[in-house]
Amino acid sequence: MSDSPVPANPAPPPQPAAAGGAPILSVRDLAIRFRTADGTVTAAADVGFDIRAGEIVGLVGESGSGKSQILMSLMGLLASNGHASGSAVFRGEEILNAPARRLDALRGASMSMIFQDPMTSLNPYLRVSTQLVEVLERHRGMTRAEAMAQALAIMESVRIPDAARRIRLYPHEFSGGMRQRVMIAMALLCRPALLLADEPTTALDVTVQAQILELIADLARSIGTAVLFVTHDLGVVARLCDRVIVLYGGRIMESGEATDIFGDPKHPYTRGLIDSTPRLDERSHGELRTIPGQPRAAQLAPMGCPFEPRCPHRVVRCRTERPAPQEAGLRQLACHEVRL
Amino acid sequence: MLRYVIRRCIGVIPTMFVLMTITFFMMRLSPGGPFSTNRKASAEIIANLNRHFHLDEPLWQQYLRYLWGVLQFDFGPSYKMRDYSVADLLIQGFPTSLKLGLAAILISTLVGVTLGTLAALRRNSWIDYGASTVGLVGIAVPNFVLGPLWQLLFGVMWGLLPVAGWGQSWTQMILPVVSLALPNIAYIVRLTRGSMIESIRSNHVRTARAKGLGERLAIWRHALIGGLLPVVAYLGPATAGIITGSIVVEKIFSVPGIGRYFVEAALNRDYTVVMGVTLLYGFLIILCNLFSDIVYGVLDPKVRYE
Amino acid sequence: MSDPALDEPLMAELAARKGRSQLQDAMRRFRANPLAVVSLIVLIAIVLACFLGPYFLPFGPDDADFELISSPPDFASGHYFGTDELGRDLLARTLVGGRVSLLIGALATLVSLGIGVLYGAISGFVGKRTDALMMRTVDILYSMPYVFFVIMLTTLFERSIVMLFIAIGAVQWLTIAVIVRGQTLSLKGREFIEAARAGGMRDWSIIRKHIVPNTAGPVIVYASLTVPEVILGESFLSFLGLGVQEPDTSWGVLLEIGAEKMGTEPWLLLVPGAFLVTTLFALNFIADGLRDAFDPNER
Repeated sequence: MSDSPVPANPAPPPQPAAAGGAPILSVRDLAIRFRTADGTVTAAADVGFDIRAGEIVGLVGESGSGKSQILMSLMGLLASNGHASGSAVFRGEEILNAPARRLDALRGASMSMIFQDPMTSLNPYLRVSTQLVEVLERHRGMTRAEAMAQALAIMESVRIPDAARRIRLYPHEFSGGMRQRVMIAMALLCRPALLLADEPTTALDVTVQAQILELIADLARSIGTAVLFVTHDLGVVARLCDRVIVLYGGRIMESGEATDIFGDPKHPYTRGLIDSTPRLDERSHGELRTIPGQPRAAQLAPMGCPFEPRCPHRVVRCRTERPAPQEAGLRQLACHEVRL
Repeated sequence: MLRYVIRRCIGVIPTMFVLMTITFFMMRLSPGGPFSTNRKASAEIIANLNRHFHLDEPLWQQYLRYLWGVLQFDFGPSYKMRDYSVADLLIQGFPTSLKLGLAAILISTLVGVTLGTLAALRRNSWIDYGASTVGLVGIAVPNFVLGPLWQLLFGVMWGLLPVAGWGQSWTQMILPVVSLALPNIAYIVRLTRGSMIESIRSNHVRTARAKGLGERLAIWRHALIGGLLPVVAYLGPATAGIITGSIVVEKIFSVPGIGRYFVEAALNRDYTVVMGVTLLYGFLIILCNLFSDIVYGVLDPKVRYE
Repeated sequence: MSDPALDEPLMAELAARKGRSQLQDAMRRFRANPLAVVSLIVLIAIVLACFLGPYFLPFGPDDADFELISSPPDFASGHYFGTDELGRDLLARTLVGGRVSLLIGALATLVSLGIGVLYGAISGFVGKRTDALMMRTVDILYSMPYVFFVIMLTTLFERSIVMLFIAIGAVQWLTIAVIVRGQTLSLKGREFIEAARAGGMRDWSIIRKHIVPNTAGPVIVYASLTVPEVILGESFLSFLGLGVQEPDTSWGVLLEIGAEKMGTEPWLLLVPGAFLVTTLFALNFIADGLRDAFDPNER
């Protein structure tokens, strides 16, 4: 394999997640399409964003808004009937539609991914140790014994009790939360520069969700890994993320620093989302508000703003004319009616 | 692991028991006992015969006597070939049938798994279409049509292979083994292709790819076990299929195995031989099921610890 | 890399937008499958030929033509597919033999469907110890050498067609029972069953009105796989001389005769063989088409 020797610790020094720092991932004009029996379905279009080293970014949207597919396309794991166009440059290298050999040198080493469903994402027929060790053997050229020691260390750092014994077990002997910890351990084994997390807690028990999220954020911060968090849970984003990207119908509606977005949401969809999130810290003002209508999932509007059918502020041109992105510093907004 | 194996072995006992019991009562169900169809024998002769074969005892005693006999591989005498016991006939035919069956099952597993896996990995390639064709022909064209057809083509028309017979030359094995293996190849190809495709798509194989293991490891280490489990589970039924098929194949190609005795015995209403073959093959099928269960448990930890 | 399945919400949304029922959807997909449709037409043609064809032939299946014994296919004599060693018209015999094979295929499948659906639905619906016991029984029966039992039965009793399909049908129900049980288990937790129960519906009515109809998809698919298997089973036994007996005939009986005469009169093997194989191909393609139609994500 054309595996360039990788230094023992390639992670960049942890940086404050501030505006500075050059981006480690730049996505431009990303579009994802699927060929289906009913024609071509566009899952995402005109998606562009940057992620800087050590930054935690939340990608928010309702289910079916194409957010998972964006992660899959970055990892080169799109379904065979899916196709991504545009560009995604990871540490100076184009990774969108890159050859599998190149991707294999990056995947699991400098960029890794945690999937939605920990119950099926681990191989049920192999011991957890085997599944951890093989990553280090592949990417670090370690011997089995060295890899085993490191695997054990990472099992401990994701706070799996009795790790020395547990590492010899099979996945079905772990609870859902524990399995997701194993997945996190696996993803962080090589101290990647970028971690993609696809709704890592939706399949878990509510009581362990928070722990898992904190764990990801803590570990990522301590080893300087940037995280792209896909979620539909705004509470998670508000608590953990430095920056937020709001997606609707496969397009970016609004993005910016988390404090700005939550302090002063501009886009009608973002406002709707925030209003419809229950809060524990405030006295309820009565009913929980919802956004009227159904999300437009599979197919993008051929033109205009995808949120138009549900938007309380829509005007005539929202249906026919796509709003040009407005930019102000780190803040971006795509809306005809609201100004930044 | 050992506990699992022991538990499985114990689990086989009731099945064997059911097999023996069903066989026994089927025999006793026969209208009027085995000798009533035998021309017009005098009442005295029938009584003597009945005493000789213990048919005058109460049913439960007969049953126990029969169970005891079966456990000692004693299936009684052949009713039609008076000089032979059923066990003699079975022992005579068994090596031939075993050789034929083993060759067929080895070939069908090897060819079936290889072809099915390749087809799954290269979907819509020529190898996939080839595998589908084999799968279709093997399932839709029964071996009692294909067998004679092979004879016609390779034996009669082209003279490449012996039409029938056994034991004089290894070339005599080719047509029977191929005829016997083909339906199983077909089934295993379809099974393997389907489950491998599913396995390749499974989430944990996606994880393997996301770990950058490369396609080869993702397939060989992560997709193969899951993809082959259904084939392992099919080994039991496959044996049953091979055994059933061997009856026809032995008839077509005049192979002197158990299958041929069996058909002759069934046509001549030689009850004890039919029963003996049924028991022997029944035990064999049960043992193969046990074997496939144990292999399954070795491969799938979830089953093992259940 | 090879996962044509989309996001589930995406697919659900697509289907929901079209507003189709499962059955309509399946039928639409089946009609869009040319191989399956052609196979269905071929099958219908064979069925019609077998059941109506003999009335239009100049020869009956038992009419011996002593001037034309073992004659090869010949248009001049009107024996388009030749005659057998008694001078009987092979086409007439093949068509009449097909009736027996097809009837056994259909009837034995129905028998096994009846037993299997009922057994599986009860096992899954009642659950607990009953379920465990019933499924253990199926497990045990699964590993029985059923072909040998059938042969034992045909040895012990008169060999008759009725015996044959009872024997075949009675052993083919196992898989259907397992499938229906699985479906029932997953249906049991659904809201409409809870609702029916809350509404005071008796268990038996729930099984009959809600469980059984909802297992239709997989049962249809499996039944379509059973028909060729049963036809194969009948031909197998008849080929060994243990099934249908002369002067009655079936494709298996004709094939046995054909296999013996294969060196000198190959048409005796090829004609019934072609009918049997065409039927089995058609049935298998139909089964494949139905499976794809009911479960499009399988492939």
